[in-house]
Amino acid sequence: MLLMSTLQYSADQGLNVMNSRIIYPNDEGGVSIIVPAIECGLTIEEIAAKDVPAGKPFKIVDVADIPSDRTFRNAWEYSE
Amino acid sequence: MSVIIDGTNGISDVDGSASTPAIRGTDTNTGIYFPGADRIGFSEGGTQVGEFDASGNFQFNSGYGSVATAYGCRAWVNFNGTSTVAIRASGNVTSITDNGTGNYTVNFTISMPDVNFSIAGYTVNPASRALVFGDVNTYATGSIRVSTGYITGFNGEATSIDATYVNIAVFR
Repeated sequence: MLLMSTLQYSADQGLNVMNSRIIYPNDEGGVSIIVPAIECGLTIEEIAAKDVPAGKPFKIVDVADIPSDRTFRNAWEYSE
Repeated sequence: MSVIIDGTNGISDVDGSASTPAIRGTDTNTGIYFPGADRIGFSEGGTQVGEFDASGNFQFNSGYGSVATAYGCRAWVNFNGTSTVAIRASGNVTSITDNGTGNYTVNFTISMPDVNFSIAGYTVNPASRALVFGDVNTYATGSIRVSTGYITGFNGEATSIDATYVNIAVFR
């Protein structure tokens, strides 16, 4: 299963932290999904800058783009 | 004993005691006092109930039976591990990272001073499993990676599984 859809946004538009996720390819060949903590007060971009491992490409996507059926979670892949 | 009040010293020169605190209101045996060098004490009814000691530790008697140092929880999180993974509530956590089935990284807002912190963790099991356990994969000052799973074989083989809820508290 590929996570293809990214949310279009502009810098001045910002993103709703609660409804956003950050995805990046992990070292196991799958995809890691960062789930933000609303209480931390950071923007989704700030969370990405802090919590995505250095050097990893990443995308900010809408939570609706992440499958809720996790039966084959370890087969999910990151797509450029 | 005289008290000094001026623009240089502020209010100074009275240490007080638990029974007669230096700073108090109309209740004469309840207030703030200075029991020794680099120490700030708090008293109620003439009895010490709290203190910042000379090392900066906060001590209090909140049912302990004596005034003792309190070791606070430095980070905590409660999140859904199934369906749409989401944080239910947290403190000192910027995010969790869903790395795969039953594998998560908790990312701290303010890092721990070293990797020797301790965690307490519990899961709420999915209906399909009676017992799901947690395992620490990696300690780092800025995060901790954990996994949840269940025993599948006679030799103790483990299989990862998403827990309904995952609860983690970090102490240092």
